[in-house]
Amino acid sequence: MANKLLEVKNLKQHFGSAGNPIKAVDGISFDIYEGETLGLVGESGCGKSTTGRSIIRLYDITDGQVIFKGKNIHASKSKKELKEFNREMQMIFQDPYASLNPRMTAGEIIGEGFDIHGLYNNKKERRERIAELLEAVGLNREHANRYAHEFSGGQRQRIGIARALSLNPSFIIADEPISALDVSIQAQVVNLLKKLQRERNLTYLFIAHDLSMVKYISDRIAVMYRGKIVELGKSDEIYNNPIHPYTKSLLSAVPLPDPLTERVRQRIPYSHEEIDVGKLREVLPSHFVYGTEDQVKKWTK
Amino acid sequence: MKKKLLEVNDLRVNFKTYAGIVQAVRGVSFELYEGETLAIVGESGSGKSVTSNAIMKLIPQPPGLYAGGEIILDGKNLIPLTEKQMSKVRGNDIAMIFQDPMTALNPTMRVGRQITEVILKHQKISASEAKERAIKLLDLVGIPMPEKRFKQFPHEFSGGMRQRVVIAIALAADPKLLIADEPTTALDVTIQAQILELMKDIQKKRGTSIIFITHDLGVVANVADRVAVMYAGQIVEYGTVNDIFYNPKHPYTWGLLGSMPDLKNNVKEELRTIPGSPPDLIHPPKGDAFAPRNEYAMAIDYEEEPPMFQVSDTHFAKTWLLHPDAPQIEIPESISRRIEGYLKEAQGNG
Repeated sequence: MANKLLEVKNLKQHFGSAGNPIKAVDGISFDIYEGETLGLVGESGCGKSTTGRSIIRLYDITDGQVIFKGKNIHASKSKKELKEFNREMQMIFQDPYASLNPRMTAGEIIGEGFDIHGLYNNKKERRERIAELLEAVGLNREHANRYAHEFSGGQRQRIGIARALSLNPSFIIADEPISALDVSIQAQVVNLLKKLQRERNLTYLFIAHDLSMVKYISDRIAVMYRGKIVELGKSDEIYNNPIHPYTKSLLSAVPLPDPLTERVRQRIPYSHEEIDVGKLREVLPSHFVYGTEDQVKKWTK
Repeated sequence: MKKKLLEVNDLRVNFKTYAGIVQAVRGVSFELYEGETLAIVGESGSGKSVTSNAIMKLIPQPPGLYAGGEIILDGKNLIPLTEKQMSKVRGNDIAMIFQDPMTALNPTMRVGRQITEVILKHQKISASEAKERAIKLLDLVGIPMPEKRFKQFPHEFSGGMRQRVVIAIALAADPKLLIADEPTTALDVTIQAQILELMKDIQKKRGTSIIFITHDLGVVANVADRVAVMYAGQIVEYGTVNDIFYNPKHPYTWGLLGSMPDLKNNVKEELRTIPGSPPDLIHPPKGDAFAPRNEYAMAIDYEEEPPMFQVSDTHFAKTWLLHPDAPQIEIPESISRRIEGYLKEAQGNG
């Protein structure tokens, strides 16, 4: 078994007043192993993006622990420690239009991290490194001098990926990296992410609402609903043998490019039952379902 | 034989820009029968939304220009109609559903009035009758407590409920043709499934014809009777939903199908991608616009534009590969395996 790279323990992220908080993430726990891709799926407002942003410290978390390579990253305070952590963990954002500064060239965007971390001070070295990154994501070195508006959506997302790779991170959080792209471009970006993962031994947290791509790219999948992980397991297992009624409902709604199946599709509606004392229970080897003991018994029957 | 409701013949739409004239739609022809759903699929910039806006005559002129062709609805060509004549067609004969339900609704107006407004514009009935009809419509599109909801503002509705309101407005004057431009793209997948069910249900009840614009092949498989695949302002493949999904002939359609992961047959091979990006429509390439991205392109593809070859009574594709003298190219193995898997499963299910 691979090493645990990241452990999330009882993570809570509440917004708003303490009296009436919005519980965007409400006590979730999971591990991510080195070299794997964990897919985090759910519908808008379920807390999946908040989870990603809390892990990378874009928010100060309300409660819980995020342990990265054995260190609690929300406890470390010194600037040096934080910088080191920032080099290890990077993020790719959803909107390739909003996430690139329109006043900077692609080269400046990719190289910004070098200035912050004092790397590649030699101009030639720096230029070489930027060219190498551009080529790694399927662009060419001449693109370094162009501005964001000169690129298509897919190319912009490649720049976003090159920026995320610039400091040689070991862990990348990809927050809906392909949702804004056309189908054929989505496939290009997904293939690129997979190739980079093989070459650089990267670990991904892949956040998306599109179950079909998540199933394809992920080793394991966590399904989120209302701030909680309701089901977690190997991606084939989640897809072929869903246990939580929400997962079943979600899967039953995904349309496939197969008209004969679509003609007989039966959507399974989901009605939420509020429970207080649920927890993630292992129903099959490394397949976890959230609920009370009675519920889980009923579902697995 | 079903009755033809709409016929689009060799439609051409241009836009004048500083860089030059963009030929957004370059000779699109299709027909739509009563009570059927035609899906138009394609990527951004393929001209699918321009085509649908053109049918509604929503192309701003200038910079837009109807450069040629006909749009014949119920035997009447819409292209020469004046704005005044057209406003009678809109809502009454053709209605449209847009992608983003929040921008399609007026945030300062109660939902009920947005529906009665349409009814009163097209029909001579009293305000109280219109209200009654509006409440019936809200009920038809599956909004619970329609009397209460009638008095609410759009912000009091969730995304899926807002899209239902937009559909109710579109149905208000009982149009024969509903154009839905990516109506579920902004919605979550469980909500999407509900909206698709609703549209099919309404079609069954009212016999409405639907043009469904989308880039999502899963959605196409779910809603469409027939499919037109668009690329670079042209229809490159056209057929029944079974033709397109189980017997695709155009390499672009292969590319689109291959870009989606094969979930059912559990294969984790690399996705087939379409290399490169769509052409610049200011200077559309000579010959077949898809040639530079087509791994099967032949010399003639760079010289001469292919005609629509007929594959069967219902199925057409615009590729030189179907010419009798072309080399026999088989559909890529990863896609044919997938199709076989689907068909086998369907047989197994009876």
